[in-house]
Amino acid sequence: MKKEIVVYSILALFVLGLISTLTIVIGKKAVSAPGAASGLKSRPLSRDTIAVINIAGPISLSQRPSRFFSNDAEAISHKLRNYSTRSEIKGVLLRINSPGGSVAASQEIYSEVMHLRASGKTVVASMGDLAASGGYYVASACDKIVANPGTLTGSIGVILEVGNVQELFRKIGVKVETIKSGSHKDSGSPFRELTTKEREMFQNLVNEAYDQFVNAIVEGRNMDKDKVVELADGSIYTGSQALNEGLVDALGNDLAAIELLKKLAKIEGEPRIIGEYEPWEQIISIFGTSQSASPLDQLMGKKKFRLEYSME
Amino acid sequence: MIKTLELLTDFIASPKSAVEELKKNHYSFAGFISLLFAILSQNTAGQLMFINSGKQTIGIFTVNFLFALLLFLVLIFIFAAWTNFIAGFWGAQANVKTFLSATMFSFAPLFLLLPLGSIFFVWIPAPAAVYVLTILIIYAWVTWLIYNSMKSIYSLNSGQALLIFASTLVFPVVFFIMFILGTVMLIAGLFS
Repeated sequence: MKKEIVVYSILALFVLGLISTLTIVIGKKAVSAPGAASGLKSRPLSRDTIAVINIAGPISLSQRPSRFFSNDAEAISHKLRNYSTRSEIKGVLLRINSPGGSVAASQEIYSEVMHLRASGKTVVASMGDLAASGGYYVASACDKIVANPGTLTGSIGVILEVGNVQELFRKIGVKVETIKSGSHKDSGSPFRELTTKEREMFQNLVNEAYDQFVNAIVEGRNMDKDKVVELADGSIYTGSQALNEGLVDALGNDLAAIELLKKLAKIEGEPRIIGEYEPWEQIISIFGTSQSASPLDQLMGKKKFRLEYSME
Repeated sequence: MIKTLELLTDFIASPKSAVEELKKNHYSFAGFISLLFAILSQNTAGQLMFINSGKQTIGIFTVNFLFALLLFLVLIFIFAAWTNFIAGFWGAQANVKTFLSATMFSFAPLFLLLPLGSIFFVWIPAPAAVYVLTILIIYAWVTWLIYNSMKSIYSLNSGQALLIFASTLVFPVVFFIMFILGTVMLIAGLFS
């Protein structure tokens, strides 16, 4: 008898549960957008989607292809390309918190953002703590840029650093012999001083990259070249200062950027907002390999010198 | 299949007779299936309760479910092995597979979370809070079922069974110490 009561009670519970589920489905109980205070509030949902891409840390191209959960420039470019083919995505928010990075990596992302804009999507950059140099390079490709008043941006310029451990090696009695095929093959070697010709060669590289940077801003921001050159002396600007100089378009946080994006992309109602990494991917990504960051490794490492749009 | 369903309802309605049935016949696979669906019910109900934190894709839901299943299985196996080992000190002999099956079937009350989750979400103003309270009650129920299974299968008295339960607390302490040591070594490695 007791068992029968339990069985019927469980059945009744499941029936009630089924009715509740049908109530949700048939009654179209609206689920609030993320960030809402209560699950019972409902706002009209839009089918339109905004995709958010985070650009955090130094911008670079990984030397290990197809790394899982990679957030290097290639992965970001791949995402941008993917979003350009999805009709439900009306706009992309680039959340930038980066001191910059390598020239080529910044250019890859810039180029993809421009393609994305050309495909009819709206792209807005939202700057975090820092969006300098290469970070600004990428932002300049967007339709609009929103920065916090205290964001550090600007640092428009190019830097090339060559390590020199000659004196150190001399102190510890280490000699390095170099046999090369051409006079410039070991240019940037950390084991000796730069020659005058090498210095000129690198200066030309820097100047060329600088021109590319200025032209990118002129095209992306539709600004006057002389004005850009005036601002592009490597100076760092706060968000407020950047607004006054025309380097950014509005002040606000990421939510303000989303609101602006909604307006520009003519999205009505609450859009679906998709991130790039699901929570479990973020957790698993912490088990990824870390690379040595010791200064000597950087000087002596595979990259003899680095040409970067980067804030030092 | 029918037998499994009967066992499940017996574990809720009449746990003693269910354990007696397990002693006679092995239901290890049925126990595993029961545990699988119990965890699935829990995860599905949790998804509904906390949907405002962000809806999970099928992929993430599957990974979360598999992770939970693996975690439960590992813990259940360790618990069963430990119980069998400690019960042996009192001369209590039993088939550890029987106890393993009983432990897995003891999670049967988790099935109730699925309809309850749906009911709470639709009809209760603060569903998440009520759901959390319900989970606590259901897990207390599960613990009680495991405790009774242990007593019955190993013919232990209440004190002995409680002692075995208490002794399993050594594992969280060990794991915690290992976690701290691991974290310290990781931090040391970062600064080296």
